[in-house]
Amino acid sequence: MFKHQLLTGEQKALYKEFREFVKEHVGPNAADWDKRRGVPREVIDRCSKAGYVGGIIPKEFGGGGWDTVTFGLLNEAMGSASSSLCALFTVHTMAAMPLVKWGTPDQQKRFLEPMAKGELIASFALTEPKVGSDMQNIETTFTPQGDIYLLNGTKKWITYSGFSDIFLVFGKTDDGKPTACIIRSNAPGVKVTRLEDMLGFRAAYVSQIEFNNCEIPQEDIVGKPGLALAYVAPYGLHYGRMSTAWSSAGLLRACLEISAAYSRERRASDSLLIDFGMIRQIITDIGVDLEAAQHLCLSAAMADDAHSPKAMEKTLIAKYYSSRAAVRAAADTIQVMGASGCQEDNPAARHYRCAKIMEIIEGTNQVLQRVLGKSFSRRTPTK
Amino acid sequence: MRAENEQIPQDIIRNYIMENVNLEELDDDFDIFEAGLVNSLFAIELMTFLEKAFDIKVTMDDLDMENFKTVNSTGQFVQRKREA
Repeated sequence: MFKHQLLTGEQKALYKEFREFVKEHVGPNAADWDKRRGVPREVIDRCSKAGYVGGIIPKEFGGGGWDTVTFGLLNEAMGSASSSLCALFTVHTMAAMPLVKWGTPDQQKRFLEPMAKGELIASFALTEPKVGSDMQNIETTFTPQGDIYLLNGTKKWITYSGFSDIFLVFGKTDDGKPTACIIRSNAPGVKVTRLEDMLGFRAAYVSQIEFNNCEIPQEDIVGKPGLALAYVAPYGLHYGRMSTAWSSAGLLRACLEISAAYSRERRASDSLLIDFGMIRQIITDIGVDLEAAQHLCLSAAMADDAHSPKAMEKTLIAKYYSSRAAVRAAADTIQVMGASGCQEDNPAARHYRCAKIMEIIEGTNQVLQRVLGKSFSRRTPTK
Repeated sequence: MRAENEQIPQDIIRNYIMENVNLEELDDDFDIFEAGLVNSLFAIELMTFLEKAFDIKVTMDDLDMENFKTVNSTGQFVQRKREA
């Protein structure tokens, strides 16, 4: 359990509520959702009703007005049991927060307010088959035609796009200006195809979206053409990384709980596993990683709540560390459990598959290295 | 932050950029974005800094790289926002 003296009473109370929700509605069903390749709609509706889907959206738009720490705690609790369900909060928030900052009053009324209540579920459609999330080179196009734009292109591996009602889509105008828009999933020219056989996040409706001459009115452009790369996408990605960092920390906690419990019960050569030094070393590594990840996540979220310019970099660091640690912990948990950890009905196997996804989404860790490596390097004094 | 508000915006902005980009000197008309001195996050970091340091709110109408490309243009933008 995430225990930290820096949490407020309200944050602690909400975290307790999230954990009780997870214990009753998520933990017992997460494996089944994976097998059936989808979190059931009634579960998502239950999350909406509980105020979780729009929790971080400001109250003025009908959301819960949570601080970022509370949003992180939700992701930690959900991520400990189902990375697939947690991914809903990730992508929905990635689409919502740019609208909070850059949306027009009309967009906030038409899209953000229903998103705050969970009446509209949204996905963040940036990644493409050929260029991944390299926004400088995306191939999706916005072509002006009279008063509207025609949207053409293909997005791939878009989490929850097989479920969502709207997408925040990124592309470029004919003269190369990065641009973003909101489009409904049932708009003419939109085709969504589920990608069923993903390694992890199997219940997260990961899909491909094709846009074929979709008509985008000017009033559905988010921000200004030309500034989607500098301002709109980073805002969404920031909250995606925040969510992923905390979700990874939750997965780490789950791995510690599973491996520690197993090592206290399982015997080998007349001794409990925990009595072997090499097993204690594994448990120690997972526990220390968990402690470090929790501190980094909390530091990032508190910086965000303080409106610190350093919040974005702290979030990159938290996502980088937590996701890498989650992969290590999940692999080690399987190692502690041996063959039983390799069975699909064991939560450790699902955490192992999902942990790898954490290193890839919202900017691969190699993209993060490119940014962080340069940043750390610049900070050191020159001779 | 109030004490900072009483300084010339250009001085505060220049110090912030130099501190973050690790420069010893910075001309107030030098385009930091075109020169590639900052990473992809810096536009938002700078915006967040301006909002906090000068108690202003950057809105969609302000989204114009001309407002943020140099110390002078950013300082003039802050002045306009404070006078509005």
